[in-house]
Amino acid sequence: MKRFLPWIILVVAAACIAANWLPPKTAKDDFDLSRFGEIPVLVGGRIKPLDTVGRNSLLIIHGKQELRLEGGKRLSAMQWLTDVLFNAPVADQYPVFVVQNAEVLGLFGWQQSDRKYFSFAEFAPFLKQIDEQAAQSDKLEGVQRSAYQSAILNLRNGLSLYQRLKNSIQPEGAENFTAELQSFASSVPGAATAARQRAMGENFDKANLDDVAQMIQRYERLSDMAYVLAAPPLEPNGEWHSVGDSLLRSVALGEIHPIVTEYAVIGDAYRANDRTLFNQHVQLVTDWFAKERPNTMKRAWFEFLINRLQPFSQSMTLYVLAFLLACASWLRSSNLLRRSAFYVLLLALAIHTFGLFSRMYLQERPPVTNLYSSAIFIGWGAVIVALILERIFKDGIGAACAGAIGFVTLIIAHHLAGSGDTLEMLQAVLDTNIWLATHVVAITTGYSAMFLAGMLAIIYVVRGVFTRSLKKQTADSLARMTYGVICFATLFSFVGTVLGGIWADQSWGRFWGWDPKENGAVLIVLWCAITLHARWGGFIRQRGLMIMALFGNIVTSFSWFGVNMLGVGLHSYGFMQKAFPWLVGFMISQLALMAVAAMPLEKWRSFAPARVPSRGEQPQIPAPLPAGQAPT
Amino acid sequence: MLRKLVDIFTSLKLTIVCLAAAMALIFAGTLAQVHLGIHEAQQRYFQSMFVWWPPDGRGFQIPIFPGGHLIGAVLLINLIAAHLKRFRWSWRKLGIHLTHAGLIIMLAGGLFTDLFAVESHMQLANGDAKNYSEDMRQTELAVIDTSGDDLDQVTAIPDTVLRHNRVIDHFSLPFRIAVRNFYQNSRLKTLNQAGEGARPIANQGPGAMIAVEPVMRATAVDERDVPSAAIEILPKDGGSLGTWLVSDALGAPQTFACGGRTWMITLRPSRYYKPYSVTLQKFTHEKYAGTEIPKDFSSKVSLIDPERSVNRDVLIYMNHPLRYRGETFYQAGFQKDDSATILQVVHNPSFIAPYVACVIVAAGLLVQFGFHLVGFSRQRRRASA
Amino acid sequence: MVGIGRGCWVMRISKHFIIYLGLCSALLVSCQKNSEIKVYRVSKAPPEQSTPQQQDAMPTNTSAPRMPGGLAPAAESAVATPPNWEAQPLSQMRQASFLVKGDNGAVADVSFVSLGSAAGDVLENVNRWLGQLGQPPISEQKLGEMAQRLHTSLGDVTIVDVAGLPDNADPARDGRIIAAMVTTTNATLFFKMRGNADLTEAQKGDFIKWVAAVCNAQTQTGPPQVAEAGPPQTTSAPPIKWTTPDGWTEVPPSSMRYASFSAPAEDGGKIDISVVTFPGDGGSDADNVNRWRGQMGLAPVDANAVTSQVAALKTEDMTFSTTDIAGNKTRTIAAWTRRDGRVWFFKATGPNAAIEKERPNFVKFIESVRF
Repeated sequence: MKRFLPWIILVVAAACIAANWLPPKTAKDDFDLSRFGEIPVLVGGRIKPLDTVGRNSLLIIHGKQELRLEGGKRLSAMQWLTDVLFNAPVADQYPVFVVQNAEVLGLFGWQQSDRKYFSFAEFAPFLKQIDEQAAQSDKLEGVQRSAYQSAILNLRNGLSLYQRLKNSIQPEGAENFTAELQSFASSVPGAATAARQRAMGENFDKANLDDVAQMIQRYERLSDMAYVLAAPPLEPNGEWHSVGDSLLRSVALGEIHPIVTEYAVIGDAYRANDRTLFNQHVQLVTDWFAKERPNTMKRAWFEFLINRLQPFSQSMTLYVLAFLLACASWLRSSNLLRRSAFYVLLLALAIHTFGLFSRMYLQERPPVTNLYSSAIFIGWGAVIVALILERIFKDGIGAACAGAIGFVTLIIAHHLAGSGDTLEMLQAVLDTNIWLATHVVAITTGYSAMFLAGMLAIIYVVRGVFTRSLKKQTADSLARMTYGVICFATLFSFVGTVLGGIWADQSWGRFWGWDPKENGAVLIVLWCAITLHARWGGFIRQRGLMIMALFGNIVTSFSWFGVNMLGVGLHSYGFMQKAFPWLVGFMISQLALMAVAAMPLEKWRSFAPARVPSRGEQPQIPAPLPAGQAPT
Repeated sequence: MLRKLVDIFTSLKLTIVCLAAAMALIFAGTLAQVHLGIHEAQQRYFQSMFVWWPPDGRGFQIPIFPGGHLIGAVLLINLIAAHLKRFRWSWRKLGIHLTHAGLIIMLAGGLFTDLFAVESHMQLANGDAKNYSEDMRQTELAVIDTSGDDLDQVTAIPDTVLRHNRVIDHFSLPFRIAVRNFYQNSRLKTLNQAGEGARPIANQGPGAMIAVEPVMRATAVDERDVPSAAIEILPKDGGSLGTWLVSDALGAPQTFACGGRTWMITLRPSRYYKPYSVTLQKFTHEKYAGTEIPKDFSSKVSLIDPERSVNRDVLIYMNHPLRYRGETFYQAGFQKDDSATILQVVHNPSFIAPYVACVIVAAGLLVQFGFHLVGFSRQRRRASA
Repeated sequence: MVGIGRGCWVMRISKHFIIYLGLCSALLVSCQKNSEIKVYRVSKAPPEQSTPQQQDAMPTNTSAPRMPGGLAPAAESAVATPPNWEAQPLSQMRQASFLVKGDNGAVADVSFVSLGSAAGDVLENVNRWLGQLGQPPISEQKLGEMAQRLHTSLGDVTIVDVAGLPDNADPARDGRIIAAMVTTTNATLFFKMRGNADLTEAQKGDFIKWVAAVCNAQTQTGPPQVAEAGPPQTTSAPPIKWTTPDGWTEVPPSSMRYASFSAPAEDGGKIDISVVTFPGDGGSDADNVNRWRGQMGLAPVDANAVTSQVAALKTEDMTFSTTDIAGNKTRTIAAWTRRDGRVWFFKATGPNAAIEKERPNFVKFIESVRF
């Protein structure tokens, strides 16, 4: 029975995952927000389902993909978005905006308390002030801003996004938008006639012109503020427009875009609490897309599915489980636990791969296009190599590495997702699949390998210094693994760096520009070279190799993250300031481990000579038994 | 003694020391870029023999660390020397030989690029035609003899010469140029704006009503120095034609007569004239719908070369440069209102070196690590057998 | 040890080679490139205006700009409002709304709306307002006479003051409209005060001050040119006289121009001459020169270059500043002077050759100007 333990664990884990994948039940008489969330729109240059818009917007403004109200009620991102789009007065009361900086609160005359979420209605009297302060802040570079300035700028950007969302599909506060559109549609021909008559000097109906002029002004404002482009093209190669823009065009075209009308009905139905009407018209819209734009609808539906499945969160949990199982297998020397860890890892890798490939499908790009996807890929690459090591050496080390690195990189990715759409469109200079697929993938694979070598070194040092479990055979395997992985890292880092130089040469004529990111990459190659040369020259042995691999962790994290924080060159990102303490903490932890490893080998618990028992512990020689008595 | 020197130059220890020094230098140089700007940090740390202290060049300076060129040179010597000394042909070492050969090519290529590559810019508004490109970092004092019927004769004096010479005496000019003042970076103001006590540094032309204020050198990546100078024209047969203000910010050239000919002077970015011209037909800046994110930049240009009877239209866009007669034109920038395109023109005869080096080193690494892997798996198979 | 003797020989040569290589590299590296004087010949180039390259240049390899910020005009107007104006809740049309209360139940309603550029020109809107007061429409000429111009950093604001009471209207809340309108590149701003005739009249000064403040707050460039809300232009004798040159025909002025002339050019083209005036000093020379350059489709030049392009012209009793801007096909000559708290601009635009021919006439015209 015990033999089946690995399989049992695997099946249980798979079942939990599968349970998550079942779609949630929508009650028959409730708003079908799931279907509403599948509707594709164009935002940020990319066609995506409304669900993504809701999740990303709420993430940017609120920091989470879910909203918790007072009284414990929880709103999903889609519920929040629907309120924002159609029911602005209600949405204005939701406490979504995050403010923690005391000086920002002081700007409004509020005191700092443990309240950190505020609603739009509370900020409404201060909008002008916030705008002015943020404009000041905007003039500075990211690294030059104080905490107050960054906070007020974030608040302004959140408020601005919110206002634009409110005015995307219909004017904020519109009551009966369907009727308004109908009167607009009916008065447009009359207005056109009146304008013609006036131009010819004839009598005309002034009221007609006035009404339409007012409405046109309204829709121009709508067009200016729109964040979501909701009106799809009516011809195959046409363009997406915002609702406001589409209405302005319908003056010339003579009729209103069908989807715009549908949105108006949907909005009115939502406000009137008419669930049947709402669901009916949402269905009409998705049917229209399925018929006229089947590809778009398919991709939007797939992205909606991925949003719900959250594959990276799920594989993160599995990685933790696998890591614990692997460590447990060392403590109890159990092959069964080790195999369980291995199978769980395979499941986690499968889900991770599914997530990675889905992103490639949705974005139509090679796997690494921004910092977020680099974190996903680093984890994926390291896990694959670690699993290969596990298969070869079968001692749980590879499994532990895979679990740990998988978990950490996915956590990092999760935190990097907070700035918006992770599937964002690529700017012009990055618009080339060849270089993305070769240079970026090679460099990121190099990072994976460096982190894996560093993780192996951590295991070596921790097990060697703090436990007795680092036997000679384990130590030798670890050393061989680390060496092999560093060779692998050297190859990929070098090739990736040079490919980056060639890309720069093709793109702006300079192979090497001493940009901080380029310098970071070359630091990794140099460090690998030093490590390998030192080993070949006999200057370092096992322990030295491990210490150098630990320093490799520091060099790689500087190259991956540190250079982005300097605020110089082509790869600088301002939002990284929050991560700075974590980066520094990580580097210090590695330095500490290096110092620990530098202790003389006798001090290591695993290498300590066998202890000589003291007098009190000497085995007693029992007194001779009287003849004839059996020993007890 | 010589034997000892040779031992040092061929030792593995030197390699490791050089690599470690390179790492430290690159790390320090990268951090320095934050306040110096990429270009200045590059000059001071990577394109010099030593890193000097104090950095601003007043008075006494001592070298505190080897610079990029020195480390590169020592590494190159070390690599070549070690190979020459210990060269033993064997299949097992093939990977290492390939790798090191590739590295030598890369280092040498880098050195040649540093010495011989020329980068310049060509800014074209829609419809503009130009047969020259301009240097972004260097200016020149152009002294132009406009008395010819169809050709002008240009004597181009680089700003480095102006900076270091008091008097310039050239065979092509009937006058000497005395540099009375030279400011590497400056701002021009009218005398009213400059306030009390402001005096012009020139007494001829518009310069007589302009005050020059020296400022700190530009460090940000998108700023350029605006040099100004006051030069006195001294005809070789006596007298003086006055002191003129020349500046990158003045715009139009100034004219005077000397020796029966008309001359124009202007301080402008250094020009590299070409035997062909480039005309901008249209610059396009595409953005993703509903956003400001740039999707593509492209310039449709006409290339006209009378020497080789070339007259064709070319599209230059991101990652797709135009290569013509040893120079390469890249889409590098644009004016904010999309009215003009900025092309980067690069002349780099050793551009092929990194490509070749990459292939060779990659092959070498693959071979070397391939051997290790094969040996390792054979060993495992034997162990488990 | 294979071939020690040969090895030694190889080593010696290599050793020398290495030292030689080292010295060469050191020499090469330390010499500076590009520091000699060059002489060459080039074909004559047309006189170019070398625009400074760094202004407004953007590299193509930067990261994408952040989301455009800026909050929409909110419930409050962007500037301080007179204390007796009560803020009203906004309707979807208005971006600012106030109610002024006077004695005996008199009220005046003040609004500010910002619309797109397709909001009709000044005359159409003025006639619309006249219609709202039950008055007949007026002509462009009449508008030019009654409109007042206010110079702000957003542009010239046209202000009209119309009175009238439509049938069935309540005199406590209606009878007068004072409205201001300004057009920028992508928006038209409307300011309107409508209400009881006397109350509106009393609030006029405050209203105009508020309009000026809002306009100046809309932009961030340059110091605001707020004019005092002077008395509206009356149709008394004009403060300026001149002699019209032969060949120039007077054209009815538009609401922006004080006077307008047209002169013929070859090939059926024409030269357009305008006289425009504002209170205040009209901006710096660089602003104006670059504005005209922009109108001709030329790139702006920096302030230092402008100084070399402005020349002085002395006439009998004053000095004008003049400039001559040549574009690809068209040319603009302009002269301006400041006097009595106003600035007067005289500008002629037309095809290159035609302007060249008319230039002496233009100079004579300027010299004939008397105040």
